[in-house]
Amino acid sequence: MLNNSFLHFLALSFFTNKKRFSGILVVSFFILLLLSSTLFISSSIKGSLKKSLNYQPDFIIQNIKAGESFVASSRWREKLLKIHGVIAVNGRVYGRFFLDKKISFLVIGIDFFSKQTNENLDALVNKIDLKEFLSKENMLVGASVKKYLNSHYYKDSYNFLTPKGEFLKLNIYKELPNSSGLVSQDVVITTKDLAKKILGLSSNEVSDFALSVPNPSERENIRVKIESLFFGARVVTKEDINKKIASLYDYKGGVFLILYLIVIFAFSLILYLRYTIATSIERKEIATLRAVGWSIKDVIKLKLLENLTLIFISFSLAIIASYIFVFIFDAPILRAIFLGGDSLSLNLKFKPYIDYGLISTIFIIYLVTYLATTLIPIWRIAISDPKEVLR
Amino acid sequence: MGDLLLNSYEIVYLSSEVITTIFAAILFTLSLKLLFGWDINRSTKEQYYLEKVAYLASTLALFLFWVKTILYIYLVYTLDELSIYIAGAMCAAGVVSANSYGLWLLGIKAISLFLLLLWMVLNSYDLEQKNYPIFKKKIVLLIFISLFILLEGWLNYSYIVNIDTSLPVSCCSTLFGNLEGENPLPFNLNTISLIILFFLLFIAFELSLLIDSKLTTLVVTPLFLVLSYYSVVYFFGTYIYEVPTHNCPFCMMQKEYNYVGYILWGTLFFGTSFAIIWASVALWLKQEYRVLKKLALILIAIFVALNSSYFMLYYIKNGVLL
Amino acid sequence: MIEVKNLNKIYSSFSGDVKVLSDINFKINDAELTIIEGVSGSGKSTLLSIMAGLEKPTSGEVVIDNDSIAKLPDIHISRLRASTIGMVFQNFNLIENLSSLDNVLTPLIALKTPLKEAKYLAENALKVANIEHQKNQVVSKLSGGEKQRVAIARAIVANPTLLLCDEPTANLDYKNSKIFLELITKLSKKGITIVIATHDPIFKELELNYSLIMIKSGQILSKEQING
Repeated sequence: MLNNSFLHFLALSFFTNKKRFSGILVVSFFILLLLSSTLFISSSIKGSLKKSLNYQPDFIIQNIKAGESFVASSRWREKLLKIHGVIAVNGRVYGRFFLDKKISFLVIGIDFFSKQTNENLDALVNKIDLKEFLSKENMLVGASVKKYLNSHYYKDSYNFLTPKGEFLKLNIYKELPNSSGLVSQDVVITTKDLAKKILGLSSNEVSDFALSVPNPSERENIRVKIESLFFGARVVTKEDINKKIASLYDYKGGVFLILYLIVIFAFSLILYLRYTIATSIERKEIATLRAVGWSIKDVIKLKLLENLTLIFISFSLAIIASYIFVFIFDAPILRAIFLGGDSLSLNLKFKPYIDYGLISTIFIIYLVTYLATTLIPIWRIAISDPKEVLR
Repeated sequence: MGDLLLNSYEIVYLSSEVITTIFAAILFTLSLKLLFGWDINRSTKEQYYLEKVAYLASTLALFLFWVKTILYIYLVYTLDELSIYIAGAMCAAGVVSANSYGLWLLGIKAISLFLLLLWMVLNSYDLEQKNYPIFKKKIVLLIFISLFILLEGWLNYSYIVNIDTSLPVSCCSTLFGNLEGENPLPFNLNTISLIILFFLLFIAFELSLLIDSKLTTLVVTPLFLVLSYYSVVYFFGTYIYEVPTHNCPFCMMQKEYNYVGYILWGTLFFGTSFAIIWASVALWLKQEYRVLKKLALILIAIFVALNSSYFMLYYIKNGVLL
Repeated sequence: MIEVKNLNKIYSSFSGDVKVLSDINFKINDAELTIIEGVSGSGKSTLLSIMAGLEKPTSGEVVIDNDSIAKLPDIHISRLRASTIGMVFQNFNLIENLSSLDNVLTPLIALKTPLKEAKYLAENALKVANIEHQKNQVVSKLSGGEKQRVAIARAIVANPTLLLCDEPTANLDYKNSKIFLELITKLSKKGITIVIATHDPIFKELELNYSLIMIKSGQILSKEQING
């Protein structure tokens, strides 16, 4: 390697012509930084959603009226349990509590004595002192909720205005740890009874049912059974949710990617111009090389390798920079575009989630456009008549 | 189409393929020009210009070869990623079988890569001679290759547009498995004779290269390629998955199996391609490209060693065979 | 041996065709020194670049070592330029931002010489051209005379059998031109075939036998043998 004179010359021509390459290097660095940051964000969100989805119940059964999800009667529970293959049925209580049009909390009521449907919750419940928690009207709040309440001077408690028009005061028992990511940012967790009051459910109503069906090949059968058993029941499987979320964030990433394609198109125009209108110095240099015995093939090889070096350098710099930008500095500005500025979920930290498929995607699109744009101009430079320049 | 087209991987794959298709079209017109305009005995400006155009053509071929190789790997990876959207698919196998274009696409892609490789070798031979002895022949091949790549462009589009996410597909165990008791192996072989034949052919392959018997190489290599496919899917694969009934050429390219499938199929493809190109060029043009031979020897040795190591490691760890 | 046979070169432009060379014929034996003399615009520069394969003739041919070079594929002409033909230009044509040594390396890179060996050869060539003390200097910082010596080092680094010089002294002062003459004498005595296109009278001072070809408006006026 070190004894290869061609590579020696390649390194020379690359490092003695810093001016020639620096412009393109800077432009491509920023384009790549932007693209890889957005894709890093999207994959990080997708990754933490996927992780929390693993803890979701296999089936969720909703009561549908007029196309909207409606509260279900807790009497369904007995019938559901009788279906073969269904292990556990849990009536869940949750819903959005709106403070105004924009801001809302997700209120979740749980049964602190039984196993939770969500393993995140399970771990959480195990950590708190139940006796103390249940002795008063307490709640656990997510980080964003805590922040919001603090800023509105609710230091220790909050008065919920229930749909019946009564006030219900709950004490802030503890802030939820931030580690559970996106989903726990805006939640309020309390007992089922209190949650029903806040959300305006009567005592024999639940939001929906969560079912555990361990055998994956039974799921389709059971789904059909349930739908024929209850008129108006909608069964949502874990896979359904998984698919929906995946395509939602793919879609967001996709929109950015299309924007990026437009940018890269502009970039390739710049590149094209830069190579077609090669400087007279560059032309003279190539003519000189041709005159001392370099073939067209050698010149093309030199120029292609120059480009590849540039591609590798700018790519690796950009990937490292965007990793730091997204996972260490939490992507200021970009996060607001991606998550929407008004949401309470803005408090989250992006979890480092390195997706090699994603990095190769960025690399491929960059490599292919770069090479495709410069290929023909490079050939033109390489075949240009040395005689004309050397006069 | 709809929802599938907005997946990042696909956008990147398809737009890159659009670029390669455009370049294939350029290559096609250039080759036609070269075929009809070329006359080595003339000393006109046009002839001198065509000589330079030939360099553009070979640069384009080089570009297409590398980009197509990278995109092939990327396509398989994308198909694996897509398998979560398609009901019934557990790996790329299901996605490939989502419509009738999938398998054709993979096949044509492999063939055009092989032809591009062959062309690059022929081109470098031609350029090394003083009178372009096989110029027209290589250009005809180039026309053929560019048409192939154009066809591939159409297949890419037809394949991806016609993936219906709502239509359930079969997973790999139904596509490749032998659950119905039918013997999936060719020539009525059973597993033991398959493996014995596999190793015999491997030895014949390496020997034919070592003793420079080109004709033997040309006969043995295709047989070895076919048997290797079956041996990996129906024997070695089960040791990679450590499940006796798991027969799939695609799952081994997933993360769970350390992407080993890419190395296996890659070494097999390039090893056999180099061997065939070495032997046929040596027979036809009397020019030996020793690099090709060496690469073929090494790649196929890696392929066989890797397969055997899965088998042996399993035996050492568990003391039994599957 | 170099043979130029019925060489014609016509430049076509919008204002019509210009015949730059017409019916040039001559032979140069190995180890001979040839000076092609003519005023600027007489076509001698074009003749030299056709002989180097940098330009294609309109008709006729240049045969070097049994190869008609206009017909050779680019790879072969290039290899010939790198290995058997050295060229020295009026305005040196060096890569300005590289060092002398790296400039001299360029033909060897085309010949795929390993770096260590190439550096050794380049240093030797610089020594022959009397410019070894400036080997690490960037070319743009050298004087005209020094540049021309680097250019000569580059022309002879691959041990060529033929050296083509196109107006080599046009940008040099008297003192540097004299140094150049000494170098040429040295190389000619080593057995290199040398062709110099020039209109500088200083070459009359050469203390060597050479053949003189006078050229005017693209035609050969006279050929004679001069004994220096």
